[in-house]
Amino acid sequence: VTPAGHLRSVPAGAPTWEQVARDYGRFIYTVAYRLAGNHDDAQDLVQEVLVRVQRGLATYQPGSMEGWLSRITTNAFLDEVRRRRRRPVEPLPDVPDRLPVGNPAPDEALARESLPDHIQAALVGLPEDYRIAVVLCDVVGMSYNEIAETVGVPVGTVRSRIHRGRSMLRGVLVP
Amino acid sequence: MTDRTTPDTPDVHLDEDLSAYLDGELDPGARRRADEHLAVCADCRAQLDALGRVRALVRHAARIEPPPGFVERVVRERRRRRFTPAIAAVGGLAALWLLVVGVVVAGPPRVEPPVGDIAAAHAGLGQGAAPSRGDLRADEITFTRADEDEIPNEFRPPNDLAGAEFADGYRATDRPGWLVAYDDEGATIAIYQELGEYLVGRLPGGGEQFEIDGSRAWRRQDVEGRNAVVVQRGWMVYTLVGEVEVNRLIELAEELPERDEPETPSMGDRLNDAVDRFLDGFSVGV
Repeated sequence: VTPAGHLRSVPAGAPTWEQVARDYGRFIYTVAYRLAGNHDDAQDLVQEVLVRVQRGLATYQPGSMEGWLSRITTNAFLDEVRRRRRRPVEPLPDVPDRLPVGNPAPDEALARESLPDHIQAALVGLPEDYRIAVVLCDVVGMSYNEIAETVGVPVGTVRSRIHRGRSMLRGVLVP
Repeated sequence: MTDRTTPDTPDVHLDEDLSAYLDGELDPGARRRADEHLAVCADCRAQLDALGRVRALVRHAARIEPPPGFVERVVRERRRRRFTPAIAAVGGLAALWLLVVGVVVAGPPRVEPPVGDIAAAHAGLGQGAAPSRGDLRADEITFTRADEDEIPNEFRPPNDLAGAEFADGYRATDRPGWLVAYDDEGATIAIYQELGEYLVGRLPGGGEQFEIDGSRAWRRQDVEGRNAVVVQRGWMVYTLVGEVEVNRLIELAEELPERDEPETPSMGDRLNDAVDRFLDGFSVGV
């Protein structure tokens, strides 16, 4: 299927999914990484988000693309959280966690080193509901109303989650 | 804040209002009251300052770079695949009808490559992939030996794969996949196949991501020197395990066929089938 094939089902003026991937890939990755907590899960989440973008462009209403993508990313993350609760990762006794093959590619090593690890670790330590609220507020820059709409909870709950999340982060990040 | 106390000794604090204050999310009345409280409450001022620093840290740390080439690779891989058109493009009534007849349009299934189970199954195969008697049992999957002609077309790799020879095929129970065993000059190589898109986050730790012929791949060695490679080829996820050099597994992986999205009946056929089923049910009922 050519990109033009997708365009047929997309409202006039809406970008193709490939444009979305190229123009907003970094943005989606950032939100995914902050929510998921590590590069591997972030990559899986971005792949899932792009599938949903591909499916959902037909219903995209011109507006805040970042808001729309954040909503998709958050929902995909929550789906994954629920899935993992049902099916936790089992340890693999036949392939123990050691002896990686060679060293990571230099590019990958660079990407990993440039992370502010302590902040990411503190975010990962938050309950998912708090983490989502803090990420949508401070990373994405959404208003409380937008977060409430995205997550499907009252604004008062958003306010409370953001405050509790930040208070927990404070205990770890600010002496 | 719900109570007004004497300005010198406030014993009711702003608490949750502090974050909302910081974010400009208080209405004008509440904001004015918060300003008044902050003017006299050192505790709340200190907490506001700390929360502001937390917010700044998260904001400054916000932008993360994906691994170089990641987005381009995802686009490239997906463009190579046929993709089911968006269901949302169908009109409301038609969409409702499709839901009624149970047609689900989705992206590729998400595959968790069962590396540990394939390693266990590999250990159960004989040298040179001598036909195993009975089933191969791993932790979570049992593989049942199948005759060659039972293997569906999309799961039947070539007889000669980069010099390795096809030996046996096994149907997985509990998972929609197939295991094929190859004899590579006396060494056995197990290749598990499942249609979908593999999840990096569900692979065992300690592996390394790389590319094979433009496709994303992952590799890892275990303590016994057994190597594992996972590669995405079109819609197929292949997991290769063998007691051979990792480069040998990569040679085989390069030859593995890239699969298209599995054939599904056309929308018209599905509707006709659904109508037929409905009418059958109706006649039985009568």
